[in-house]
Amino acid sequence: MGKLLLAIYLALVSVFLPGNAAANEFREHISREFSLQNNGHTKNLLVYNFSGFIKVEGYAGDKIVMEIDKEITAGSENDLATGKKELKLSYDLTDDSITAYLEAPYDTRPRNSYHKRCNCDPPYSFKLDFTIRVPSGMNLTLSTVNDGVVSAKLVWGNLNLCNVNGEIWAEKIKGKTSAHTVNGDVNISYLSNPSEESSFYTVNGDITVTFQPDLSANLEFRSMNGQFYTNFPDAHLIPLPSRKYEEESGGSRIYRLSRATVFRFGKGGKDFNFETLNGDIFIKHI
Amino acid sequence: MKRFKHILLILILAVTSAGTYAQQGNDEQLTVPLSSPGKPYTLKVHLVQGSIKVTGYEGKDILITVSASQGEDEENDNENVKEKNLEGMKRLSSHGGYEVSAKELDNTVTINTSNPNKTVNLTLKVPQDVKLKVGTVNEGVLEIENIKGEVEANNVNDKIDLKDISGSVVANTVNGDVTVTFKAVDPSAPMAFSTLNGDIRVTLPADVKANLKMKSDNGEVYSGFDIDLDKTAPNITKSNENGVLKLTKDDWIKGKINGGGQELMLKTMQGDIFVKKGTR
Repeated sequence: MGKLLLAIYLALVSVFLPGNAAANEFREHISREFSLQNNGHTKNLLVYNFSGFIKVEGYAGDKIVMEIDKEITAGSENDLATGKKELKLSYDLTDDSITAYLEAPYDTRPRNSYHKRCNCDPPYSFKLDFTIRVPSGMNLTLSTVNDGVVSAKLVWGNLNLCNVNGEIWAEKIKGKTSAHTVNGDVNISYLSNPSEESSFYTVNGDITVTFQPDLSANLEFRSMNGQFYTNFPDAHLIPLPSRKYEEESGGSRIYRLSRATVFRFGKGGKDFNFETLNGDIFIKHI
Repeated sequence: MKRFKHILLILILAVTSAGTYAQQGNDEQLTVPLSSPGKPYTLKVHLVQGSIKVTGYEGKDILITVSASQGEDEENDNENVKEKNLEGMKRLSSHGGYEVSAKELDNTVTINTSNPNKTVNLTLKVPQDVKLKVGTVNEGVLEIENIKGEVEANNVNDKIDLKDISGSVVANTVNGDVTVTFKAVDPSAPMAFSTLNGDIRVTLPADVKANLKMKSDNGEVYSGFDIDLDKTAPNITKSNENGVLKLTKDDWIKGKINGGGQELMLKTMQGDIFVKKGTR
């Protein structure tokens, strides 16, 4: 019996060793630099990734510097070759924006995101990790789906951060924020509190946002299975009237009555929204 | 004295305005019109936490009054959270928020809430002729009053109270009493009333015709009606389990009132059963 197991083990080893993944793996490092157009009129950087992280850090310079690690793996040489030929990273430059996106195998730009060219998944897997440095004043729109964090640090502009299967992480930021993921935590820490309404959303994960102590806003919380916590001393529930609305859906009429849980921090003012299904919400001050 | 009157007036004003403020803050009403008003309709109301009170009235619309739980949130700072580093943070009580929706399609109205973990109490005023299906699980009683039609009421951890019903009822809870008072009984519908831990009290019109089938495992059965008891020998079922013969005696009390009719089943495990004769 022991001999038989050993024989099977040897057979398996002999099958898998020569076909080791390393043989059908392709890696490439891409460096790109963009000068801001029209004497620094470029205000927006947009990155639409599919698989892999996007990490952006602000600095005092005047160029956008992208370091991209590309990785393609496949089950066979043939599929790897298909991947090398097909996978296409493109850039779109306009007066005020620079957009980096995948053109193939999926077009990752928002208007095309749900229209795959074919119904089949490519015969290879791929990953692009973006490490980017930007002038601190820029607005960012960053989105990925699998295999990586979306993060921003030392950026003063507006932030639109999207992930699906991963966390969102931002540190030392200032601008209006929209952070939205499905499976992952949202962790954000402000250098100065956003002056415009912001929203933070995840389905499966905690939301932790650290504000400066001078926070003055109305915070609306929604959680199915979680609780809300804060170390701000002056948060109190505002008795809001409920909202009524009607809608039509599949021939039936739906009447809704809802009242949100809104807490006033400081003197109130702008609205910040926090929503999670399975997770807690933590509001901290530094 | 004059000064005292002023103070009194101010006090009264303060109290009444505080009262109206609380009213606005906590209770809200939603009006749901039927697509064919005046026609028979179906109403389904289901909660997980909270009580439901349904009262029949003369109007055409369904009026829903929502009140969020006034009690303190249950202090269940569970293990899960304790493991997280709270760093001196305190929990913000989330009670007060809710979302209630009512869906209407071809005279069928379904009412529920978006978050089953939150306690919400519903008070409904509904047109009387209704096929009603009402249920809750925790922290709430079911009260139904002045309804003509078919009522199905399901609770788990509290009582069911039905008053002035004309029609038929199926009422079932686990931990709580079931109390039903009929104005009139639909002679064509079988009915059932059951609980596990609680009494069953059913008041029927004096002239009701029915076949009663009753059982209390650890309690007594009382009746205000003369029951024509079924004297046939009780059913004994034999079963053979691994060579051991098992005899099970069917210990239901069966009998007819006013000559017999549809079956009325009443069953509890820990509690008494009362079948009462109505005043008429």
